[in-house]
Amino acid sequence: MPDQLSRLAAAVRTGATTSRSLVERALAREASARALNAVTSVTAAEALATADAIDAAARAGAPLGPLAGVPLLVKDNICTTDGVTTCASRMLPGYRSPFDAEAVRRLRQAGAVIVGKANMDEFAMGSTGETSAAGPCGNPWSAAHVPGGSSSGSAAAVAAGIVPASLGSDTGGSVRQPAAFCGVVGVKPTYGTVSRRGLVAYGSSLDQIGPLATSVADAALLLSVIAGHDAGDATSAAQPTPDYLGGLTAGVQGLRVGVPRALLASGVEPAVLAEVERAAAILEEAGARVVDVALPHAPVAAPAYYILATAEASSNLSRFDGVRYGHRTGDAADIDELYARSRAEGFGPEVIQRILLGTYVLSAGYYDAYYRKAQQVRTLIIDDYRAVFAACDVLLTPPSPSTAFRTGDASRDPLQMYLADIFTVSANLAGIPAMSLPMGLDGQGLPTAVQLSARAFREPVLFQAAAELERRRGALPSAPGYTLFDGADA
Amino acid sequence: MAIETRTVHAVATLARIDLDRLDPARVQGMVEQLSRVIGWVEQLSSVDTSDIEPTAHPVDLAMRLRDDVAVPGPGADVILRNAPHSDGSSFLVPQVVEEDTDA
Repeated sequence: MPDQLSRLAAAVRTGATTSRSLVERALAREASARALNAVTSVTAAEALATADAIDAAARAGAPLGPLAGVPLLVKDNICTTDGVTTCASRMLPGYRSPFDAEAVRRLRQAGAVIVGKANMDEFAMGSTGETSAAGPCGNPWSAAHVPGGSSSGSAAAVAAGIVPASLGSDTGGSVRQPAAFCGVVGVKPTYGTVSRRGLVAYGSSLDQIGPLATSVADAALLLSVIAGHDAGDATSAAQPTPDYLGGLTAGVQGLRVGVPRALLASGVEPAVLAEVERAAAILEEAGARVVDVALPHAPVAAPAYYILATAEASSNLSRFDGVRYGHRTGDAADIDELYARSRAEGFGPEVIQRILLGTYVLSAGYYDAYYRKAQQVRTLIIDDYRAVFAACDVLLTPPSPSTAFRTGDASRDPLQMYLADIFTVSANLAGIPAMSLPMGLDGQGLPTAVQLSARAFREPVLFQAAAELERRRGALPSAPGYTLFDGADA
Repeated sequence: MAIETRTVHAVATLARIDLDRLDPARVQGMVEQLSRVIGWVEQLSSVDTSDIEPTAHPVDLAMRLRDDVAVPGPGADVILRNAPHSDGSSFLVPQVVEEDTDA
């Protein structure tokens, strides 16, 4: 169903269905899919009360927003005043935010009903969904494979039909990679498009909240709701939000699609590479022109990203000290012990590892060799994109060199995980928009996907190309044993 | 470059993380992992960055001024709701300043 969200909202507005029935459906779906562990907390009472208020407004003929009565999940690092925001960490059990994130405020204003929080890698650090203190999240497509991360639950919940759409956050691919692994659409907007106020910070120059949905139209609608300037975020873009929906049926005639063939020549699974070529052929047949482009610094994007992201994280996560919120050790004689023990006890291993790396690269004597060097490489990556987008309108790559990784792989090498981020981290370093679009299934029955990127604030052309690709690609099956959320049986 | 265990402990002290609270085997795993990651990121040294300006932020940010108007916050009671220890108006921590014994 290409425009599920507007269809559901229209049904609520006209009284063809009720928000209560949609929310009850989402809650029932969550309960029956509990084995996936896609959801860390549910706010059933608040969600049902909100739904009833929306239904009453609909009956009274009051004007309702574009997401009227639609149940959604948001990642557990996005603050909500109802329920808790835990970042899937033992550091923040039971944390109750004093305010809604700006993106959540906009969702509620548009009539959406937040039914709970989605599981994630702890503090958004991970690409498998396995670092969560709430336990690993499953992939609806295969019990033997991870859903990706860090927005693991946001992607798995949409693929399992618990909700029709969700919000995630993307610092180095954390919306796009799980979207790809779970067969849903995921968007990392241009830096500054969505306010970061109320998103628990990981890498402040990289983080963006983004939508996950079952179609390009739904993702575009959700982004149009959450995008826009916010005086509460100094890095929020002060320009008008472009029209994301108008170009969805415009086609791709004359559009230039860049494919970095030299970069894709090694290290990419054949099934993944084949989907990139198939997408290029589909777009070409639809009237686009495919051009070969070069991203000479892409191979060093991942190491540069890990220096910058962990450096920013080491600073951002210093706020978790056992004093104002979060875990506090029961065993401290003085303030220094209080900080150091609370943090050692509260953070999981991957988070500690990244804080240590970030602290190391910022420490005296190493700053120039690592941090400043990585910032210079960031400039080179931005320059690469400038050249690429002089030659094309949309860049086509895979989101990840492979389909979903196997679960619980004890021999998994963290360095291999970092390397697998090669196609996603560059968009965060450059601040440009990028999205993951499902294409089909590989030989193992796992979702395949392609990634589209564009110049900053050119989301409309991304959605335009993705919508054409989606139409010509055709309908895809839902995960075995699950159906997407359509509210039909609600 | 291999990172020594004592370097990791020194960094952990800077980061205010008490590694003695963790399983020693896990700490040893972290030392090895950090060594490998540092070795991996060192490939950046092969990139010619002479005369390249560093980028701290992906978009040009201009400081914007707003009217100097007080905006109400959530209130101390709401903020303190999340505090592990408070007396209702302040966060409580172990004593930081020693008492003046001469007084």
